[in-house]
Amino acid sequence: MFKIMGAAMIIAAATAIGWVQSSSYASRVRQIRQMIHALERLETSIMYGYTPLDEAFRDLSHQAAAPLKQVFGYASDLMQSRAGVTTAKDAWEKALHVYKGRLSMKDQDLRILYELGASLGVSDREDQRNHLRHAVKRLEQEESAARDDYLQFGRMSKSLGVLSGIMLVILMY
Amino acid sequence: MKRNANWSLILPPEVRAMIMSLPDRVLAELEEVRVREDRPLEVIFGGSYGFVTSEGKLTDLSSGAYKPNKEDCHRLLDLMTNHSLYTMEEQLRRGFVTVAGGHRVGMSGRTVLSQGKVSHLRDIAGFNIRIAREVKGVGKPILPYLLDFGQKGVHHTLIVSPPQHGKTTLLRDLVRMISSGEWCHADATWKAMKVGVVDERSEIAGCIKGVPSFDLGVRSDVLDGCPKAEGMMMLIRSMSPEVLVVDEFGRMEDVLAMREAIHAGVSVIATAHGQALDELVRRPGLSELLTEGVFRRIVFLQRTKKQMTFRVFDEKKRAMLIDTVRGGARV
Repeated sequence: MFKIMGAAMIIAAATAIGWVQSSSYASRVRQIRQMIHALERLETSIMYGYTPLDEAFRDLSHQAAAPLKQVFGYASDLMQSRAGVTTAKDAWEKALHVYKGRLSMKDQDLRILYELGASLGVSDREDQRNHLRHAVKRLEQEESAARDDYLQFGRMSKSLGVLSGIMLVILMY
Repeated sequence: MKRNANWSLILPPEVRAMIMSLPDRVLAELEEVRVREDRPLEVIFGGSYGFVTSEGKLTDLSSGAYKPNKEDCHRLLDLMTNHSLYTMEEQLRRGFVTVAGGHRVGMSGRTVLSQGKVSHLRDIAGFNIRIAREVKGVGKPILPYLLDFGQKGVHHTLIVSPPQHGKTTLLRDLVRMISSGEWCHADATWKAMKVGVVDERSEIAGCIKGVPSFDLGVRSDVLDGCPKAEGMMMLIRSMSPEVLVVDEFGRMEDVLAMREAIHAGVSVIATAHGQALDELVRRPGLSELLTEGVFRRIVFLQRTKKQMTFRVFDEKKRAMLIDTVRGGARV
């Protein structure tokens, strides 16, 4: 009896691990897409609204879903409070660093965002647009890679979870 | 100084600490802070200048002074533009930015030309933070001479002085008094007037997002960053002012706009750079107006270290008042 219960628990746990794995692939795709949307909105508010960066980030944080919501919100707070950070780059990097754990993005995705930080707010509108478009383009590449990963490994890790659970049970019997 | 300490928020923390630990007498009379990349940090106060060491002490020797580096300049630029240089393109073209509190930061660097005109400023390596002071009451001795008792208003007035002698400070105070009805004269019993201010260089009102940083009284409207001639016309059409106030008057199109204002029955108070009356008469735009006697009152300002001298003339260039106020250096 206990044996059967134990076996069921192992299978359930392995399945759950597989699901978590798979959903992290999915949320990477989702977060990159949301970030692309956010940067495109940022471009609009810079080009047509002349909105200062702290306000633009505040708006983005109202529109975006977690965890991007927190990233933009925190960066905006830092810029407005001027506590310890003196440039937009500092604020952006600090916000990314604090919320890195909650983002499902990989290092190569984050690197694009860190690099974007170096040019945030420091040049004229035309130049800001170029930098933002460049970042968006690179994120789109990562997005399609992430989508491939999801199709390839996302489904696989789901079934792999279930199967490895079953295999463990069989081995133990 | 407390009232004005907000200007220092645009400085990077290290530089700010140095400036703020200067002796109180220096801070109280501080006029300009000059930041130049890789060159000594300079302050100008009470008509003289000095350099600042990294411990926040004043020195006459440039060799011992703190030299702001590229990073300092970069941070200063980022802070004063509110992390958003792109919102300041127009200001960069003009070479200065107005920050909260009406203080102005002038900038020098490499200009980028587009079709022969300055389109942008880049590699900014020199900053001049000009600390604006609001001196309420500076216009009190002058305003009674500008009153037009017949029309129950104020005369067309030209305020003349060399740069840095307190023209704008006086103008600002006049706006405040006229728009809140403080006439400083026992017989002036009419109510406050509507004042329209065309603030081309954001100096009179020091507007941040359209709201004046300085006290301009209650019945004043400010058109911020607008070319003078066009702005005067816009205000006449849109805000029905009774008094129009402009800074640095003198180009031909300003004169045309002024004629329009006179036809509309609006009094004009303007300032101009200059030293003496006969010098003004030689300036193309102004000479017409002066010989026609359009300006009913002409005020000359002269500031020395110790005192401030006012001279008021009427339209026939007869002196009406010559007065001296001590302690003018603070103005």
